[in-house]
Amino acid sequence: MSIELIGLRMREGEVVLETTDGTALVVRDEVGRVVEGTGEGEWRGELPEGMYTIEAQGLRPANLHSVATRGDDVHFLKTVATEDGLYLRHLVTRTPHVRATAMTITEDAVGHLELRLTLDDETMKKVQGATQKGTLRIRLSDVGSGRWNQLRMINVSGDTLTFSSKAAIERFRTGNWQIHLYDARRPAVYDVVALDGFDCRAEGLGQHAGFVPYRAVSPFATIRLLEPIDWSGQCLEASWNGSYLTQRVALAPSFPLDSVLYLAWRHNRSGYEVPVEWQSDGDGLVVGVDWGAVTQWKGGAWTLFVVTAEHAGPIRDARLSSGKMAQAVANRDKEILRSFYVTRGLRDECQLQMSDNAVSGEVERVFVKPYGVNVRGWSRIKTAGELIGFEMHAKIDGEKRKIPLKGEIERRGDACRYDLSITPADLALFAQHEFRWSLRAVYQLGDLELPLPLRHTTGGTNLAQVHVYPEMIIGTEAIEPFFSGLDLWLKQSPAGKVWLRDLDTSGGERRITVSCHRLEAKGRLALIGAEDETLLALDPVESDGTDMTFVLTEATLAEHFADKPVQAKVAFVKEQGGVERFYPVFAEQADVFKPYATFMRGMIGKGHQRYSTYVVQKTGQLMFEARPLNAFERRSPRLLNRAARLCALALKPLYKKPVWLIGENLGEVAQDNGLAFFEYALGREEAKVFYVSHADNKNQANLDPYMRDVLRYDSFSHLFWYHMATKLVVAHGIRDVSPSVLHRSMRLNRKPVIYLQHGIIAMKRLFFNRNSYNGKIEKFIVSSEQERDIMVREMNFRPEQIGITGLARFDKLKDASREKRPRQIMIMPTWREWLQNDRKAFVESDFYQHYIGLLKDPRLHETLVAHDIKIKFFPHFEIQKKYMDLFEQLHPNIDIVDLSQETIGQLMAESTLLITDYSSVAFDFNYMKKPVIFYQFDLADYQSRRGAYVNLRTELFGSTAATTSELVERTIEAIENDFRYEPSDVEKSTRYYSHQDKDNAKRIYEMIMELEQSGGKKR
Amino acid sequence: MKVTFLAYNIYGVGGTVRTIVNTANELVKNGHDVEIISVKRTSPRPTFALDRSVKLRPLLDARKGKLYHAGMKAPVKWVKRFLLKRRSVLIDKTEDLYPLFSLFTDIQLYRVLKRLKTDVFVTTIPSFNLLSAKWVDPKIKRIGQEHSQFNVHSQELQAKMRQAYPKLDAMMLLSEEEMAAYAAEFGERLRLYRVENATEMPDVRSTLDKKVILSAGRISHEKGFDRLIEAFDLIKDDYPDWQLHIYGDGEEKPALRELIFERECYNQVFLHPKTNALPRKMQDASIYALASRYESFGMVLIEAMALGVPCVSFDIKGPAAIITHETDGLLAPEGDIEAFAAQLRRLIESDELRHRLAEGAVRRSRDYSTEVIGQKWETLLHEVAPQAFKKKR
Repeated sequence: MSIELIGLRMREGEVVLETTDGTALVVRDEVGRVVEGTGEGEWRGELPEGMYTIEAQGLRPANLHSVATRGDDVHFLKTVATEDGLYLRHLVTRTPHVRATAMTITEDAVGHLELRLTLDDETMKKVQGATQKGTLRIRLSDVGSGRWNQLRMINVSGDTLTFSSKAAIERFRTGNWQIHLYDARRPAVYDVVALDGFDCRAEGLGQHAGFVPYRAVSPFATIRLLEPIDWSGQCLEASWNGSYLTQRVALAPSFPLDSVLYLAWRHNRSGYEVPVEWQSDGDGLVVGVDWGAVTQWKGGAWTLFVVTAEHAGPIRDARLSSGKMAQAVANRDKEILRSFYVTRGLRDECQLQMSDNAVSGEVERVFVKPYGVNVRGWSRIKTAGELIGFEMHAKIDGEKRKIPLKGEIERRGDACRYDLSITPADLALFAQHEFRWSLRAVYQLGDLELPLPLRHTTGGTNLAQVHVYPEMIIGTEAIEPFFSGLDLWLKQSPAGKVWLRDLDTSGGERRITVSCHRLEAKGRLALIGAEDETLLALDPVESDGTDMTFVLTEATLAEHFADKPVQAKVAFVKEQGGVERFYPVFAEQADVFKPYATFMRGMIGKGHQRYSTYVVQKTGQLMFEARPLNAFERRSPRLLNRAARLCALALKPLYKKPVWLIGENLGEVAQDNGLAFFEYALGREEAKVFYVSHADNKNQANLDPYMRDVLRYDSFSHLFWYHMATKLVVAHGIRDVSPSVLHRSMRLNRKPVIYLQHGIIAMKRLFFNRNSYNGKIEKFIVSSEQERDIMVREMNFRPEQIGITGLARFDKLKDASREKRPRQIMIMPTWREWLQNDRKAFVESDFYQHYIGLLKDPRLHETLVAHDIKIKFFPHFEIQKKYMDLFEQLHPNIDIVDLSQETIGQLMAESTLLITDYSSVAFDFNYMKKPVIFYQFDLADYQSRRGAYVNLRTELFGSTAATTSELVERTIEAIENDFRYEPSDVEKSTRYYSHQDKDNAKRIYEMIMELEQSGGKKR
Repeated sequence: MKVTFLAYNIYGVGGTVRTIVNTANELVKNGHDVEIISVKRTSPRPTFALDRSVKLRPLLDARKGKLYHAGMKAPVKWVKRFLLKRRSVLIDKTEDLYPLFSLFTDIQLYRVLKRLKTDVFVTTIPSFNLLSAKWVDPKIKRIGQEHSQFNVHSQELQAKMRQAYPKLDAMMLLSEEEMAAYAAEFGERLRLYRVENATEMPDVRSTLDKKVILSAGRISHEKGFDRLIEAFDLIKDDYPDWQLHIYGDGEEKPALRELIFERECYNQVFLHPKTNALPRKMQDASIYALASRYESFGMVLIEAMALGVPCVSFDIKGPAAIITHETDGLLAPEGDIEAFAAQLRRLIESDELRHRLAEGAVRRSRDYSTEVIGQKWETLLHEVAPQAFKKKR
């Protein structure tokens, strides 16, 4: 029978050792005397400072530690398992309150980081009567990557301190403390950090024995002092079977069995993850990866990560030896072969290197003749396989097509020489105008047939420019071999060409004359839409064998295109070989048609809808477009604008107050930060504010009380006040407040823009350009320092461009959930845009399966009834549109939200718990200090398709669940805890909001006023 | 002493630029202060490695986005745009680079030349030489450079040169023929110096075992790449492993491509875009071919020869002054494409010939090393500006 040590702590001055059978433990001191202990189910006793051994029959050793404070004393306890037994060390240190005035972090040549705190005089006096300034040094070793330049130290008993490299430290107390470490530059990278020693050695400070042996982990979550995990293993071998890669990693048995493993590829901002299956088999771990299921096949290093209940980080092994021969892994769907080998990263991480060099070869000769194309060369793959044939692939008319090709194969060592031909018989006619064939060598790999591209890897990299082949007319087709990257392709297009000869306008009619080259001049002129559908076809009015003339009249066009905007290519259509093919009309020399170069110039028609045939100057292609005129194309908006400008010019010197125009989403809504800020600003006197809105605003009800200060979009007063405005305050973009007539010239904008934002940038990868609107974003509003750092680091904003005030709409968040009965839980999933548009795929999707599983779970139903709680399920608008019938009849306590009856604001105010996956609604909810559960069943997928800026696994507040049953459990837990908001969440939230109050709009207002008074920033 | 050069675009690439860069670097090494006035600027730093102590003064920043900076007021922009569109009046219409100058650059040139303060001023094209004679302070020693024969220029230009050149303190020429022609024209009135273009001597050599024939240059009629392709086409089927690689861009490139398709040699003849790392490509070649119809000097030959790559050229002025047939390279009678092909064939077939000529080539290239040419410069400067010469750094 074995006993396991499961807990170690200090309680009321006594050391407590928890085991599975506490009575059997024997604790001896350094000289071998037994220390008496009491307790049932545990060992309790007084252990002064020192080293002890712990013995028991069948004791399974464990590395544990704990830290406890008693007054000014700090007790450090640690067990260390060695070959000759289990040791326990108890260390006591007495550290005063210290005050530091500066902090630096330096990295030495070996990659050890050292954190130095310069202590001030007062502190120095307290510390052993020292009189000079000293430094406190903490060595942070084993940092994986990045520079750690923001450190937060928190005392678990309640005091929180934050300091960064710029700020000074307020108070610093050693004790039961937790460490948060951020890599301010790359938050997507997290790592195992070992804090080796807390060494107060410095001038004047004397020797402070504050040794804390522990391993801190996952710097992006609360780092708890945990047992160190000992990775010592060897990657022994990797084998593959088609697309499944298995690898053996021998690791120490203390590897927790409920861990999750995954492979992650990280490069700058993006990250992709692949789940890894693993099992332990005595010798170690066998790790398997199904690369066939992977969507991202990035080349480079994939690091093996492990996540346990309290730990997340890469698996490290300093004794890992780098790869033996590369193995290859194939993805049948993507028709890719990649080679892999095991390697050790810069910091000893266990990595698989994936590279794209599994296929190599040389295209030695390509002969292009009227009777066909002949290709000769050799090909080799980096794994066992047999070249068995050839194919060419293309995507034509929306379908993938494959045509087998004839060729000879000759094996020479591990390479195969090939000689293949493409004859006219292989080239069928298709309706699609032009397409590309990818030439493939089909390999037999085990039981997998993989068509791999014909590649030329012995030349340079710009083969497309250097290995150029002629176009040959083979039958009715023009064939041209070309290189794309390193792979050989064939371009097929109709042999004929149609040139634009003349464009003429007379009496509201457009005459188009074309001439056919290598093509019989019998056919029609057609307007071809984006999906290659024929929108209109005309017969010629004149034809003389090679040239044909067609006429477009306003009447004909009005018949077909009067109601909505249309863009089409103008093409010549002709039936060939049973298929109707079209030949886009091009002008041989585009500048001949300069008088028809733009929509306006090529326009006919006088009604609301205008029609135009124009020649795109860059390509010479003749295009057709039908649409009404834009504001900047019409005369009257321009005149109105000019008048407004003149008025503003005249009146500006007389109007002293700052003028701010506020808006959201192109003036179509009023529900977000724009409205919230507007409402606050109306209550202040210092600036004149207007809200800009279209007449048919979706939230007109919200604006009704303020109509005196609302400008109608594009009205004269809008134009006038726009030119008078000193600042533009927008939620989505500058076009929220700028008049349509100026939309085209926003790159010349001179007005400073304050960007209020409409979400929290953390969960979703978004991108802003700091130079938008002619570089005039004066302030970009964010809610936290973390957000600011993301903006500065990832999107190159200047720190002065960011205002950390909090979002205006947070002021309006009202919590009405406490009084509401029955209490309600809100479930709000995000839409995954990659889910197919077809019903079958949706029903089979992970998304649907998980949510329906949750909503139908009987345990959940029981709990809801037992506690009298309702669930409000709020699916995304897209789901509501198409798939609502799939969510009917779930349970009397489960309601589907009807958007016309309830608003999201109402729901958030009334709910006591929010269950969501990646929606930024979570941040609003959490702001009200209400619990959130994140349902992350497809995290790896989300990471790879969308990505986020924070570690969704460990950095969010609330709790996370990866499976339905986990989610049900967490929900039940929350219900049974009376929806308590955890104190740890308070702490975690501070990362996301610098302020949690109702003064956000006020701060924004005052910040903008300050900018006004200081004259704004000169670029 | 302080030496100022006037170049068209020191930030670009080409034979002249390379020469000026090499010369400038050498002068710096010999302790002089060098400044280069560049009419145009097309990149943040010069493409060829120019010593950092050389001062650069661009007159027109033609980089994307730099022509009109954001703070420029509209009227100023209009004036500049107008001036940039007007053709130059100062530069002679027959100059190669004439279309690239404008009234704007004229004004800049006038201003800079009139106010110039330096010891020695070196100009590199006939129009610059004329302007130097006209406007630069006579106290400054003005040196002109010519890269072509005197009678190649138009009558008008010749007249201007006859009138203005004697005002210059010295004229630098590249070859003996030019020296003779200019001496005949100007006699004692103009001091003449023969200083060839210099090239850096690399410390690597080609191994001469790759089956590559290399050629490079601006793809224009005078460089004759079409003749080269025709010559190679005659022998390509006998040596299917050998390839011809041509590096460069130019208005004749599409025509060259057509020729390749017509002769069906696209599996052996490759056209590359122009490269800044030509020496690297030369190292991997076994033969360098120059098929120019006209070549004033042939700098690229010296670069190839310095790397130990034997050259084949037509027997025209310029290359003929550099290559001694059968000793350090091979020459074919001008216009005789079959003879050119025959010489290529000889080099392809005989390893021994290739290596022997390579040795000769390396030896010959040393005559154009920066040290040797640098010495010639020192002599020139000492004789032309003895006072200033003493003021060395």
